[in-house]
Amino acid sequence: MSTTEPNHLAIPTRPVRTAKNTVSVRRFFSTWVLHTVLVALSFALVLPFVWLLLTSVKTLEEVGVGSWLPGKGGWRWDNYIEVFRQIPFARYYVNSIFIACWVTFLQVFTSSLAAFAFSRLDWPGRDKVFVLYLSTMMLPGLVMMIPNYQIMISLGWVDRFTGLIVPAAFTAFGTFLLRQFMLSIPKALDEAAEIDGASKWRVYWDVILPMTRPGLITLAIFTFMGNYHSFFWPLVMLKSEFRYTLPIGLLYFDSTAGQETNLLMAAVAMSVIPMVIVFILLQKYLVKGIQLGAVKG
Amino acid sequence: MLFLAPNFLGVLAFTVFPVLFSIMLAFTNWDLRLHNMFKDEPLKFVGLDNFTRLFTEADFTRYLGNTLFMMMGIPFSVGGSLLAAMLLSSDTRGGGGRTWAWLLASGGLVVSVALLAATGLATTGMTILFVGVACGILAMGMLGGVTVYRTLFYTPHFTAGVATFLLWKKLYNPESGPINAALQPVLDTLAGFVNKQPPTAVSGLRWVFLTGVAALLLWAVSKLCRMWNEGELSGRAMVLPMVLLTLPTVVAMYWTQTRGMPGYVLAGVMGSVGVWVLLRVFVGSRAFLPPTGGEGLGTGLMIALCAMTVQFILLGFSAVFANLPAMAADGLEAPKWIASYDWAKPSLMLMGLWGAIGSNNMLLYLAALTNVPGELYEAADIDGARRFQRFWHVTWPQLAPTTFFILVMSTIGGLQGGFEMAKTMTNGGPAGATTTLSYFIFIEGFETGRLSFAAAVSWALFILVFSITMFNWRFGNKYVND
Amino acid sequence: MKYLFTAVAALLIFASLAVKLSMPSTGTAVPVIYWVTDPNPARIEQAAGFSAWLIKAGHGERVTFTRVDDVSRFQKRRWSDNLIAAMRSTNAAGPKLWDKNLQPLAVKEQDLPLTISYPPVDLRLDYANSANEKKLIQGVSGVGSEISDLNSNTLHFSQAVGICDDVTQRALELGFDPGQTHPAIVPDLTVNGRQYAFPCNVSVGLYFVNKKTFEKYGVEVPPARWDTQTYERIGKQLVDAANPPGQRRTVFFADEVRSIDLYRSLGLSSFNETLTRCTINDPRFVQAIKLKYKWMYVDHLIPSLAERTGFDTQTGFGGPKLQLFNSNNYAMVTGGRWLLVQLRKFGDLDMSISEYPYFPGGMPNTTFYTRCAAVYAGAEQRDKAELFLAYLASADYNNQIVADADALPPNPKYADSEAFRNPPDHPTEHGIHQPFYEAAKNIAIAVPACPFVLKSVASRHINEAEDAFMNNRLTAEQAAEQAGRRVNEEIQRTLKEQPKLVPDYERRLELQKKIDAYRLANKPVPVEWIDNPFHRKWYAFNHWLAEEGGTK
Repeated sequence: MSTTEPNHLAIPTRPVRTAKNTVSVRRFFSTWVLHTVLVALSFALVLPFVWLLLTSVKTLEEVGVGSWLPGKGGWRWDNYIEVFRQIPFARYYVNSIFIACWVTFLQVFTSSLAAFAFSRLDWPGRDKVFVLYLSTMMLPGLVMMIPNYQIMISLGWVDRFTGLIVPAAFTAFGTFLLRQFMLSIPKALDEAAEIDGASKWRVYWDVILPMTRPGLITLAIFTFMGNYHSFFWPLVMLKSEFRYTLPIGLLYFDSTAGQETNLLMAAVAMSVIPMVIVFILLQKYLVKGIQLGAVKG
Repeated sequence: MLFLAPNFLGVLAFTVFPVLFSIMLAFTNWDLRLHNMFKDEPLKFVGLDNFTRLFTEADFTRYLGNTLFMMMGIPFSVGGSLLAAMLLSSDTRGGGGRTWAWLLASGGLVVSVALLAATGLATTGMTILFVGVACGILAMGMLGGVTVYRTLFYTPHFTAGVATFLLWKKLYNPESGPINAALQPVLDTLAGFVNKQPPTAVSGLRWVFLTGVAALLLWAVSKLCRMWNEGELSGRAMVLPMVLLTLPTVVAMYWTQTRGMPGYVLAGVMGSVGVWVLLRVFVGSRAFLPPTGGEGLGTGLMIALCAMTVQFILLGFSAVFANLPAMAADGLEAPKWIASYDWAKPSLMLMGLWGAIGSNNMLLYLAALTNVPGELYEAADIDGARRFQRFWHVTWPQLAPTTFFILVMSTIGGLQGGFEMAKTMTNGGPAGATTTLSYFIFIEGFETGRLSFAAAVSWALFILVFSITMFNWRFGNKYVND
Repeated sequence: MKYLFTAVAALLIFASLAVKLSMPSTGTAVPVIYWVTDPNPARIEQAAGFSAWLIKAGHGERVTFTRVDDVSRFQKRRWSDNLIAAMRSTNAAGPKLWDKNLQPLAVKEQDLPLTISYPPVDLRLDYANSANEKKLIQGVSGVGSEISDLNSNTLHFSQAVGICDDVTQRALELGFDPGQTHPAIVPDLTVNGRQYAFPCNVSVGLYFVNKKTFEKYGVEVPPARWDTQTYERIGKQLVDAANPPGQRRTVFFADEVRSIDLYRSLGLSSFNETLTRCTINDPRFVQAIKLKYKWMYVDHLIPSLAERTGFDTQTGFGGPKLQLFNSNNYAMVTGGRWLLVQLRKFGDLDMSISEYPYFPGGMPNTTFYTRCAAVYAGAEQRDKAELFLAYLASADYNNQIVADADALPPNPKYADSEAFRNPPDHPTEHGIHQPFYEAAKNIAIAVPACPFVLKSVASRHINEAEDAFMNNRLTAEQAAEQAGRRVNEEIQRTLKEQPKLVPDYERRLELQKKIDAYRLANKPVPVEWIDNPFHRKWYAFNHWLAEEGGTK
């Protein structure tokens, strides 16, 4: 943990005003300021999304004309049905969610194991291996594409979900993140457990993992979102139409036969739903008692 | 050891092996046109040829420059996500004026929806729509509290990836995109207004901004000098902030020279600042020999960075006002965004900023903020004037480890970034303005076939990232434990 | 925590089983080949047409049934709907094996013996694999798709990498040799006399003119052929009449002008006659881009680079420019005949066609493009995939292209028809189809393919320099110098990297010397010396070529 010594915190405190009226007026205004800022920022961040939603209910002829609102063509809600008619959208949906769930699970599980080894166990060469781990993040993925593809071919994983799940499930990033979380858990806890005769596995399952829960959730959100969006690797790996993930399947609407932007936007709007659900469900655990460890080299 | 095994084996197979493979390649002449399963040329070892080409040709340095330029957005996006996290860390449902907010939100929502339904196609439809959206956000915020805002802030991330790029490409479309559709009427009005004024009155306004720049520079320099005199800032830690502070002036001088503006004014500003610094340093009470170490660098950097940003903004305004009469004469045109050389990089940075405010960094900050012990805050009254101090002395030091983690990851991401944007949105253009190193690697590898050269570029990049990270690591550790 | 993990794992394994079971089965009655193409509804029709054509053209497998059991076993094989439909439509004479909902019908004893033919291969569309880097990675790794749509650039690269099948021999056997397509596009399909592809369609760019816009502003409708002076005069009249001074310009004469057509009209190509040197560093290039700059920033005839879209099939067609054309903001738009696919959605526009302008005294020209299909060299079903190329040369396919207005049919003889010139369903289009055919025949020129530098690399360097000039980063002379220098450096680098190419390069250098000497002496040059398709045209235009038999 960072060591901010209390005596540095020379915060001058003013005498609290006692007049109740003044306080409530001041609170009234500070709430208003806060809300105004929040609404303004949300507005700016959501606006493109609003545009996306509005475009998704336009007719193709009206896409890109001045007004944001659908014009004479009316509000075309059946664009959403049209998406399902033109491409096997439900199949892509299932594929994407399925792959993202598997990757998230494997990633969280193996990363937590590795992070445990890097933060809790002592073994020769540990820090060197960790630097090696870190440095794998620093080489652009593009140059590894072809060698990786060759590996996939020799394993027979091209055009299979395995080929999308397994390589994405082991990354240095997850290990790095969880290691930082684990470092901030006091050593005394697991030492106490070991004195009680607990094995390393027990320490991992019963002491460290529960303490790292916010870290696991963070990593789960990051991984799920990242994988749900991943484009380039699935693009190269998948060949059969019924195995496409959403980002690949949506290419259909951005075609040479004319970009069907309205349908594309409808499809994007629908593809967002699982992520919103995952985010809303997980975010409340995220901020409960989270501890990000001090970074120690 | 068993703990490490699954992840380690995975990383070994799918990352380390290709990494080692690619470093070998960087020293060969591997070229897809010569070496693949349909050709039987032997692979040749060419030594450092690929690396010498990096430095003998202009491409690499130029695209490295582009990459670094785009990375200038990182501090802003980190700052943005910190701000967002701070806004979202408190519960917004409490506080005074709830009834009024409810009334406003629901009233506005009902009225705008009703109007929209009634006059949907009228020209005011858009205004009503925006009011409706804003009120809707407020209503949801009142209802769901901070969760709603968090989700809304995270929206850009949901649509991330190719969908976002397509979306922004359409937003940025100079002819039919909504940004210019909204901007153009404003610019038309402005042009009409400016054309009615005498040109000197408008262009004269630039002096106001230039004075602002000079004043800010003086203020920041004197602030730094005072810190130095009081021993809060070591001599070594003063170098970088000083450089950053004077950067805008230097850039502006260079710029005015190339565009034929009165550069002597800025030269004058520079000169006076120089004299000022010398005076402060030599007349100051402390001995000139600086103490070792980089104490106070964080504070100094913050001041310098803030001042630098504002200076750049002021300079921008002054340049705009200087040229406004000439530009307005033929009607003001909205920027061409990603289609113009000068706007392409800022456009992509703006897009990155938009996406970064509510990003993963915000989540990390949120997590870290809840971790700040409450008793540290309790000492401080909620007092508008003291807010900044509270942040500066309590929150910021507590966030240091997170900031550090985010900066490390952002540096890695920034140096490798720009590929998808360049590929989906700009093809690296116009005239190579948005070609970053990662896109360069892509072109060399997959468009030209020279995979060995692409590998060499990657490894040059690797060395850069690695050394910056290691520097961060050392400096960061020091700062974090300061 | 332990239980949570176990539960999640169990759930996921269960989900895996469910997903696996719900996957459509992949077994098929006949081998499947994939056609990597763009997601265009017309492709579905074309793929279906291929199955039917296979039977009609006699490439089907014949089978004779003598027992009812055999018939039902045959019906139970996993036929795709496409193949069943093809069999239904072509084996019409005998009793039907499937009803019109493609369900199997019982066959009676008295109908036997029964002979039918079925397609030997099942062609499926694959539109997510059309990204270039994907084709490349899969191609060099041995798992490419059987047939790929390529453009001029990507074909050049794929051929250099060696993933395109040499179809020269089979083309002669099956009738899709270069003689079956437009002579001017052949340089795109062949390398050193070997054929690697056949066009799906071919395209030449011309201006579509919206006559209403010209009427609205009282300006004469442009002639079919015009030089740069006429272009500028009419253009200025239009933009001056349409844009009130002091306001933002909303009406432009055309969506774009391409420098390549301008400098080619002066006799300059990006490469010399023997394709050994990039010749872009030339005053004529400077003149062309300066004129373009003037039209863009001084006369405002065309919008600035904002709307520049390539003709690459990768960048997507149409877009906002067609809406602006329809709304009279662009008086003219550039494009091939395929623009009609989109323009027909706007209803009946009153249009005419004009060529790209040429410098006074120069040669009118336009660029010939193709989207062509090539067979993957590593494919197991190569011989079947080559049948598809034969289908592209057939009447079935070409007539469909004629009807869809999806650019020009690959085989020119199908464009020389009344159905092409005056499509009965589109009376307002009469007169605007023929110019494309004429242009393809007379003035269209393929992009030169230098064996020592990839087309995509050369055009990237040239475009980048031109961009830099248009954005005031370089002067026109500097841009020309930079583009020429960089492409020539690339040639030298390729020669260094691939010493095998050096003998051919030196042979070409010798030839170039001879050509230069002949030209200096004003002697006619034999056409077979010249490799650059542009120079063949230019030499013929100037009557510099030796007559057949060398009489002159």
